[in-house]
Amino acid sequence: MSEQSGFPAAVRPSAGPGPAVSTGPAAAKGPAVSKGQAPPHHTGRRPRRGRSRSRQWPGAVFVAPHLVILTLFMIVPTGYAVYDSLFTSKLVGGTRFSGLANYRTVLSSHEFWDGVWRVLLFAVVQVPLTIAIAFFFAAVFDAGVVRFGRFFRTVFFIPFAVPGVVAAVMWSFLLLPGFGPYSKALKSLGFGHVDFFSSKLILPTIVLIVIWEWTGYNMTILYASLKSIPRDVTEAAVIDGAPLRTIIMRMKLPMVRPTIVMLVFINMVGALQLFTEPSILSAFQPQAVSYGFTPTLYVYNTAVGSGEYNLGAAAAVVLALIIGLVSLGAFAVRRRNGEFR
Amino acid sequence: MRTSHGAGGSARRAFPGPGGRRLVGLTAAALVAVSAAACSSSPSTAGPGAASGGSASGAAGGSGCAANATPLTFWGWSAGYDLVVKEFNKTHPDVCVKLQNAGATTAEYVKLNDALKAGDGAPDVAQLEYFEVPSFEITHNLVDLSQYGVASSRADIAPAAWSQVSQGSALYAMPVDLGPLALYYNSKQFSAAGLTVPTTWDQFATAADKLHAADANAAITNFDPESTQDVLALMQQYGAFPFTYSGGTSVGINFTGAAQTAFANYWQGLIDKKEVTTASDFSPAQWANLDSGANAARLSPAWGPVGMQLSIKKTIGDWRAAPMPQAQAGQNLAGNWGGSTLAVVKGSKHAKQAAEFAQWFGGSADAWKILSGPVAGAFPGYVPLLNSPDFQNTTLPISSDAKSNAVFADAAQHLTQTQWPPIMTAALTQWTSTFAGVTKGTETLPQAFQTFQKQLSDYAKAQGFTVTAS
Repeated sequence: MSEQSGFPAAVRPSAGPGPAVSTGPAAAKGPAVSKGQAPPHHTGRRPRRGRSRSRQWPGAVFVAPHLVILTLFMIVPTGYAVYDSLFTSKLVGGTRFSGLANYRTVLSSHEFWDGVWRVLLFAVVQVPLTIAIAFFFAAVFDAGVVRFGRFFRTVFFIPFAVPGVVAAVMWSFLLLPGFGPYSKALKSLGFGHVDFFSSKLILPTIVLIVIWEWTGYNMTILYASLKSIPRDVTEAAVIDGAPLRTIIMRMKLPMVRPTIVMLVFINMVGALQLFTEPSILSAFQPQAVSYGFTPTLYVYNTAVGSGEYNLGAAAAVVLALIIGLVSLGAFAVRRRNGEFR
Repeated sequence: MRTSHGAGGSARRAFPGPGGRRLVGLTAAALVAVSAAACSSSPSTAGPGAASGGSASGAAGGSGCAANATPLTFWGWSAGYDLVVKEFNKTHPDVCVKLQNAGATTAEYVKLNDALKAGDGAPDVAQLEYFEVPSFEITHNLVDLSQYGVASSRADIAPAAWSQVSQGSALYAMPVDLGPLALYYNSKQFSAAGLTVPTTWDQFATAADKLHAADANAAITNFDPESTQDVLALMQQYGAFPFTYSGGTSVGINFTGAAQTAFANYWQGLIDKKEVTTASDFSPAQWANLDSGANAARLSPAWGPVGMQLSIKKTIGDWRAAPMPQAQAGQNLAGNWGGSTLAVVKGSKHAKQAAEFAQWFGGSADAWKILSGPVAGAFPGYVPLLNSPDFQNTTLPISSDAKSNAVFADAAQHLTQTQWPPIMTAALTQWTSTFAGVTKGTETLPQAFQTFQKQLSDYAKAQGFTVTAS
């Protein structure tokens, strides 16, 4: 929100000395892209030494709004959480420095680790499925083999525009055991009484909801990425007589691999922070979602539900470290693939 | 997520049904309301109260107030509270109460806690359920109302309500409504099955056997192990209330004593024989069971029938109230599920006026005229109304011409006195996970009681309390 509103203000000052910035690279890049001789990121040349200083400060202006937001809403709260996690506040006896005691409690908590393993399992299933489905539809739309592609692309994107809370509430009603339409349909098809919220099916149910919500988003990014593949590359393949399947799987898929790696990473982090869907479901089906069903629910329930804010802060820090490790892993993979030179 | 329902949402009713007396079902409804609020700018109203909400915007209170009136902020969520506030402002021109909906039950407590921690933004008066009063009392965040003469209302309030909000001569909140339990049974089904209304729990079990033997799909009632307040109310009525607390740093937690174990074994026995169902309270499944004959009775709080008659169709008119079955013949013990109080929050600049408002709200005929009306539908803890023939003769379509209020009012006078421990927020949060296995059939109720005993005791100790378990 504020990033967007901050943007115009940041652009304005660069208008004065800016020509070098705005026209320089753009002019160099423009023709290359429109002719489609190479993907855009190959055209960006490193600035020469003499000009680098004059180029640095507009960059800082552009980055500043994001850094301000990042500092205010990420770095400061994280620092506060770390600080908070070193204390223990009791109803009787007040607040006291307790060192790493909260971390010991979290690390030895079965509830917390059960939640971590559960979201990892969730991620291992949900992330590849989402991206595979998203890539399939993106490739179909990109190949132009279906009519009304634009219309269907929009339809596929709509679930992402529905807020997660609303989606979860909606699915809670749709999947209601015994009364929801899906439950009734399955019963009339002879599957018997299917309880989507039973302890066995609750995780697959959440996978289903999350895939429904996120496939359109992933598809849109993959579609844009596929569209940026120069047409003459595929034209050459078509002339050589390659079937569509080969073109998609052997040519296009490798070319959008950086995008897929990025999406895997984004989806993984999202999955580890799974919160909205299970917390809404727990309101409808309290028995289905336990206290520490996911690590974020554990954080919420200890901090807000039980008033143990310090313990919740410690759990949040541990979760942040786990996500940090996953990010580092993803970063290493992307670096090996030749990004971030 | 921008859920700014604290500021502008004063008129919003967070959930359908009367009063903030149930947690689990309400969280869902509250979330729906919150989500709706977050995504649309139009005020969302839901529930039976909404239909008559002609004065929904009167909650802002700013309108009819004189310029020099003392301003009071009041956090509350129950349906109809806006109408009561409006009446107060009209009849008390020197005070101007502004009602804000800071969310229902836990949502409000969290906000109140945060505001108190921040030292800014707390209201003058807050709606608290009975069980939550000690949690705010132990952190010294409630004003002792006895210094403002509120104790003069004592004779007008049901003793069990009064005992839950007072410590010695100190009074930490003004009781408003109650939810005494009664056996609310389907009279047609009972006579068709040849059942007489049980007066003891033994007779109740025998009736359950007989009903289930005649029809394998019929269970006498529903027992939701995950509904903390429901189970605690039944334990209270059984003489097995697990908590003792009298202020200070010592708290009694007892889920494993003789009475508690007997209670757990009793219900587990009925669950094992499939003579009670274990649907979630207020779930569509529960309503369907009550309407289809799968449940022949409901152990209902006094505020229950109003919501129930909106949720069932076929059996409207068949339901009758009887006193709860007793653990021992000849006893007359009642249990209470729900009800709210009004507390004055420390830091209020106008504690005197706030106390005056709270006393009027829970202890005046003027307020109760509206509170017991069709919009609010609250069940009184206010004795003059409880005893009044008009109130006791009130009928509801669900019970045809039967006078259920008389049964509930009698129960309200026979509640065993209970003291909530100051750790109920955590108890409610942790309960559901621990008791979910009983619903699923992977553990028994006595086992869940054992687990919860340890869990809650550990929590209380970690919070610095001395725990006694006798």
